[in-house]
Amino acid sequence: MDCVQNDILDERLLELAMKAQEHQRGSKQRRLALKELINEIQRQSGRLIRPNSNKYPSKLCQEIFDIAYQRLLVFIYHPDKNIERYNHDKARVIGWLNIKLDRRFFEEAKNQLVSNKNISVEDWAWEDNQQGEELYSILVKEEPPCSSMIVRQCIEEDSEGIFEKKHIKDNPEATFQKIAIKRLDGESWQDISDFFGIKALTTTSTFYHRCITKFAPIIKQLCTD
Amino acid sequence: MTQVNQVIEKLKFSVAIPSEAYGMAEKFSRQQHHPQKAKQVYLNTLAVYAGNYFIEYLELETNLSGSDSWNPVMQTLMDTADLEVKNFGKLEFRPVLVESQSQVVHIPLEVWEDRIGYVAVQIDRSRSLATLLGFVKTVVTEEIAIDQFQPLEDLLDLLNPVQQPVQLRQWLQNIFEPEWQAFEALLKPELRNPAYATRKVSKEALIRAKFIDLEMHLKGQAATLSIGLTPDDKLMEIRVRLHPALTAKYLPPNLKLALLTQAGRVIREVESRNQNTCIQLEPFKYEMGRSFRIRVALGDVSVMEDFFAV
Repeated sequence: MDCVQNDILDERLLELAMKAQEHQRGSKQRRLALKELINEIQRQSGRLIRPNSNKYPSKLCQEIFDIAYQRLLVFIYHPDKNIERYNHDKARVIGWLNIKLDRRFFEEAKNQLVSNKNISVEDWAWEDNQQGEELYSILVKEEPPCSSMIVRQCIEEDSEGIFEKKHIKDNPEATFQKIAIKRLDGESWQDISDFFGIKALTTTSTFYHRCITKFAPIIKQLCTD
Repeated sequence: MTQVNQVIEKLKFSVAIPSEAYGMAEKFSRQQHHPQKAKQVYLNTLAVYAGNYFIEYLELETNLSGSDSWNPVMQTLMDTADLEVKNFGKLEFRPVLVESQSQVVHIPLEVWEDRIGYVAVQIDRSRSLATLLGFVKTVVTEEIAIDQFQPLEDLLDLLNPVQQPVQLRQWLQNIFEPEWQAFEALLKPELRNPAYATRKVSKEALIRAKFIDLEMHLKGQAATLSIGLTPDDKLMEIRVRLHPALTAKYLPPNLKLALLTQAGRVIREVESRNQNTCIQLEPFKYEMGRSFRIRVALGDVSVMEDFFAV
């Protein structure tokens, strides 16, 4: 180990940590200083400790470190008062970071990874091509009507007569009912807009979004009946 | 020679996808009769799950069950991956599969409104990991490449509201920041020294107090910081004290209370010993328009409060 090199690296970290502490909480300057500190930590990430292979399953060690490291960096940045917990009289910055990794973040990461159950990839083969589409049909069951069918039915029936009444301004054909059914059938905003002669796609989508917001409670109500 | 990473990477946050998340995604996707839509709902659910974990990790409250993305009717009507974050608004967590060639995030028109921002979530099913990679506040196209997203720090900035220094002048007008409460409210009755508990008896015009949490992840170490103000011509006389918090009778020993300049130079400091019920700094006079800082420290943890004596 090159001691002089380490001293220089330590000095850099210390300078940045103290600069961040100097600025007030919530200030832009503190945030910028923390970003600089994070960059320096990333440059020096080789100096951070790795998970103890006696304590953690060795094949998980790299993943544990990766996740712990991410969380350490988030900790440094947010909330921006966290940096105040570093006391330069008590430890070097790198030491403080290593303690955090060792005592908190490695455990956290391990808990994340261990609770994880790997679903075998064969079960859901998502391919962005035609062939793949058929495989999705595993999800579709010919059972009691699913929500999407109920919703579609509810809008088609329009028992309250409200969905066909609401339409885009100056375009009585472009009713919420028709637009919704097209959307539920998977048509794109482009196609829907073209069909009704609407120039701007956002006109159609914004109209739709606002209707949804307004009608959502009613639709939910009608669908649960 | 120590290894030094030369590449500076953007901040990322990975979340393990547990079986319960897959279960939910599966359950929701079965509510769709179109295979394409089923896939959309499946991935949106995983992305929102990861987003919810992240927001809660930041100790913020979410309303997952009340979000559109968690409701089959709304999932049918829109391509939505929203998450309601209390006190902030809706964030949209858009999925992209790690193996997809394009690494482009799709943000449909119907979610361009009512959102405080959009997060790119890369899903790696083989490793069961969802990684939050970037953030944008607004969108103008439906397809955005991942490398066009801003760093996650921007999302953290959005969720970390700017904290102003405590405005002491406003205290004299009875305007107090919410964390600064009436002294009587924070201290147990039997511990209050009547001599400085009421305005009439004490010399101070007013006293406010704040709960100081010294250890976020270990319970028990806390104190109550009180600031007593008395305006004196163009100056303000300030008394700073530390009292025990919650149900404690004494302050922890070796607790340090310090007055610092804004630049961090210590002007005065006191330290508690065993069984102190209160420690205080010698009252000082501060000029209007200046700022100062109070530091409360125990071991290697310190908390600072900034004050602006306008």
